[in-house]
Amino acid sequence: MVTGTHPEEIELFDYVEGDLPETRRAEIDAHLESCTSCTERVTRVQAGKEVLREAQFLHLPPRSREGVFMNLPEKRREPGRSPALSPKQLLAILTPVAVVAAIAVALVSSGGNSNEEPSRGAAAGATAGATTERSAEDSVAPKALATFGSVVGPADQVAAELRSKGIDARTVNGRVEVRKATRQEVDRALADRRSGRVEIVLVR
Amino acid sequence: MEDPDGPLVARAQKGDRWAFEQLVDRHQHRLFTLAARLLGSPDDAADAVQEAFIRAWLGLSSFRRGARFSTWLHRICLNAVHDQRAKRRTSPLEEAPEPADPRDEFLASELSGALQEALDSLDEEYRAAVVLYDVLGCSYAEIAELTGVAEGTVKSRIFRGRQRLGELLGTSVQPQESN
Repeated sequence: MVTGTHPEEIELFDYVEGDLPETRRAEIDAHLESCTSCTERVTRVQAGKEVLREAQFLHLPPRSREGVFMNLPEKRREPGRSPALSPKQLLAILTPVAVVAAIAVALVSSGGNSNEEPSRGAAAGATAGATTERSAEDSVAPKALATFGSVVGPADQVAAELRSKGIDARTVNGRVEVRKATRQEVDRALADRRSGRVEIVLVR
Repeated sequence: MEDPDGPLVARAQKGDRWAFEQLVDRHQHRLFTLAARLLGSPDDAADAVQEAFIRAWLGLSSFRRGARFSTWLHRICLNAVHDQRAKRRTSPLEEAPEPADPRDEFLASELSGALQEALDSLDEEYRAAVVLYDVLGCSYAEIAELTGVAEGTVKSRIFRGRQRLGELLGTSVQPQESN
């Protein structure tokens, strides 16, 4: 004889997991003593749980890990650069534009040649702004202490090779920056690489 | 609870590759276990994991603070697994070369055993539920968020997935005593 109605699936799951209050657990224990179908379900679920516990944790092969780094696009910004223009950078760009605009207004009001001067001035202003912006970026980039030399690339591959040999290396702006390593260590690590265009530098 | 990956994620969002590489090192094996158990092929799993990390790198700006990075990453991985499976359906299965590395041999034997065969026979949603819960140790809430279903549905899927595995792989285990 079956004691009470069959427990719902989720309740049987909580029973197997030991997540039921004691009183409800006792009721289901009593039900299972007389219900073959629920007992079989619980037995299978526990068997499934046991075999899953034996499933090994699998490790990504090292060559695939390196593949991740080699294939990471250089799309993201380098460290230290703000996601948007800083007020200082914005000012550096807008100031020449404002000066050009003021000159244009002055020329128009004085009857000068308004078709030529503003555009020439605007081009100069844009160049000045870009130069200022580059200077601001350069000022926050890591400082190179020494250039180790240049090897054949690509840079990501060179950095990955150095990392695989225990050297802290990463790609920044197309060159490979190395930390906490000597020239000899880098030379040894890259002994198989011919000279090329990828610059390797030691940074602070 | 504070996300343990938070500081590295913040740096990676500013374009710091080194920080992102630390995140890869932290999560690579979990993602690979997930992908390999769901796809049953080490090569497909490695491709899916690589794709997942590249998508994560490119999509870091869309990751919102307050969310858990590992959950976000697992979701990207599940999508990459789904895409990899679709790709595999459209291209013929290549014969796997003989593994040269002992670690590859272990991987190959692990993914060709009875357990993996039984897992492969489960419906996709049951397989994902048991792998996430029983192998990776994710919580019901996390699985519910990852798979877009209610926690009750998660429990039901784990129950049915385990039940099927129990049918396929033996039922010698007796009901456990109260914990």
